[in-house]
Amino acid sequence: MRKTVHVLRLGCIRMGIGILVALASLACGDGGSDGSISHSSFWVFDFTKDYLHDPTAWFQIQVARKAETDRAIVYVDNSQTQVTESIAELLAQEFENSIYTEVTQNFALPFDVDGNGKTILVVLDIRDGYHPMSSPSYIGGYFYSVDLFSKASVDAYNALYGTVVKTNEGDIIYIDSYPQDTSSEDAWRTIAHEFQHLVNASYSITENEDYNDTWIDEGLAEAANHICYDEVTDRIDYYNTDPGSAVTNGHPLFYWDTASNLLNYSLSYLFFQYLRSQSFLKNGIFRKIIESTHGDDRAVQDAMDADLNLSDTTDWGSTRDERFSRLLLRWYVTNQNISTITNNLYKYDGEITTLPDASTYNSNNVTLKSGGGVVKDTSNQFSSPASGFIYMSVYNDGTGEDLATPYDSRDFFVAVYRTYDTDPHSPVNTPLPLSVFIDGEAVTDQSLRPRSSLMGKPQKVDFILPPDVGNRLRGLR
Amino acid sequence: MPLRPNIPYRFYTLLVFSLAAAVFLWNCREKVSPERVVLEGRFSMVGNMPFAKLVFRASDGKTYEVVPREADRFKTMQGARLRIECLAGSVVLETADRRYARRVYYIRDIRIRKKGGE
Repeated sequence: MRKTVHVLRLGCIRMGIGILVALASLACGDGGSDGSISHSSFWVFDFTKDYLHDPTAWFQIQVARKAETDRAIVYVDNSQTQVTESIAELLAQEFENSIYTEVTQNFALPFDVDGNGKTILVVLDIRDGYHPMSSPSYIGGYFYSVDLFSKASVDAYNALYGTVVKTNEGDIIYIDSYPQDTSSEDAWRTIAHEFQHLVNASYSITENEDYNDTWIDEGLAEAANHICYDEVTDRIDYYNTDPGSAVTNGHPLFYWDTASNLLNYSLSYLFFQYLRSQSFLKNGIFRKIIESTHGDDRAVQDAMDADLNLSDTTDWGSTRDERFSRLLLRWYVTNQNISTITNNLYKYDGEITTLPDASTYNSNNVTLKSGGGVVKDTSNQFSSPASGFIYMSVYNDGTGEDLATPYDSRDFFVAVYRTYDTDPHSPVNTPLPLSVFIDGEAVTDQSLRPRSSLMGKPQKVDFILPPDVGNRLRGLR
Repeated sequence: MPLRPNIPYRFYTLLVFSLAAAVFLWNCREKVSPERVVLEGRFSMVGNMPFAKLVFRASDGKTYEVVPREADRFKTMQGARLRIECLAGSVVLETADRRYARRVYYIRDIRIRKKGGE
């Protein structure tokens, strides 16, 4: 009896403490309509500084809660007076009506880590060193997964890693208010892109699974952008400018080049659009990738296994490995936009109207990094495979694919450095079949085809570009 | 003759069992302090930009984060099959709502021992 009384007393004390803590929490903030804590400030950082190691990179912005819907709360930096209540309301409504359902249905659910049932959108002028003349690149928005973790954990992480990062302990997306126009579709596309990052990280954390490789995470984020607001023509235009002949020379898909990754965004976007185009599940293929227990190319293979079209042994191959290899090889050929190919296995569906139009490669050997590939005009037989590469020869109507050594004479020859299942380290050089004459005429040098100049057109990525690249570009996300 | 007649026999039994339990738990504990290991696998960038991290996906099934100060040295080796020697440890990160805990494995003081194919 005495013991029972003691337990009851202990329970009452705990309950009392809990109520007091809850009341104190509510008293500290102005309280949301759902009883959640309202923020008056957020930790953000200066992207021009080393946010990982430089404590002066971090500062707090004071914010006001300017709009709220069932799924979103919009906070605006007090210094950004041009972002009115009506603009904030528009952002919240856009998130509510055009983004939330599409992204959660096709990718994953957000982790409501702060228990308010909503995603927080923080509008601020991101310190990214933007200057209209001298540094015309800017960050459109970002999602920072550290925000999902507790302050105590982040402090422990900092102590261990020698870093100085901070958490706002919430499911948060940050949106730039200058020079980005927060009432434009640009800003909404930014939110769609970043919200995919949020739900992707949410799934990995709550299911305790590996984070996706960057080439996958960014490809899916652009897929979210595509689903919510139609094709991302900037990415395709940039691909078609082939900056520095990087596309022609086999800029890698898997290797995320942090120094010049604009092209990586284009490649990732196009790869996942090709995957969707070829799938039975269409947009549903993206959820399968996120739900995979793997974070690398095996996640794509898992999704292919779950798809009626992409697991078809007649069209794609008898093994999982072969099917993924064909996907890569065909994608590289598809990006050549060869008019004689009518085979739908070499097509994007109608949702991509601006087609990639890459050039063929002309040299007789190539050095590629992980996931890089080149396409050659050739009808030579080739039997000199290098370790780590996959090859295919194919006729110019898309028939006669040959993935076995020796690769028989065909119109096109594709080489992709696929390191995942093989040994050598990147980059690796491989010989290629020599260019030859067809019907007595030299093969057309497609790399000399005229191209429109789009180098000055704004491009969006998630990071700050180095100055030499940044001078050419505007509008980063 | 008892050892200490004024201390009950039960106390010694408890003491012995406690010590045994402590030894058992010590041996069963997950080793979280860094220890020198040799791993085989590949470097990859994971997560969204601009916060993408360099990780090492090892053949032991674990994904190890490369501590930021060393990441730049190995980013160019993405995709490479490697054998590395390093200090490996782990830290548990709790989500802000304390509902989930994620054990993050990390490596530092990395030395390349062997490149694939060599």
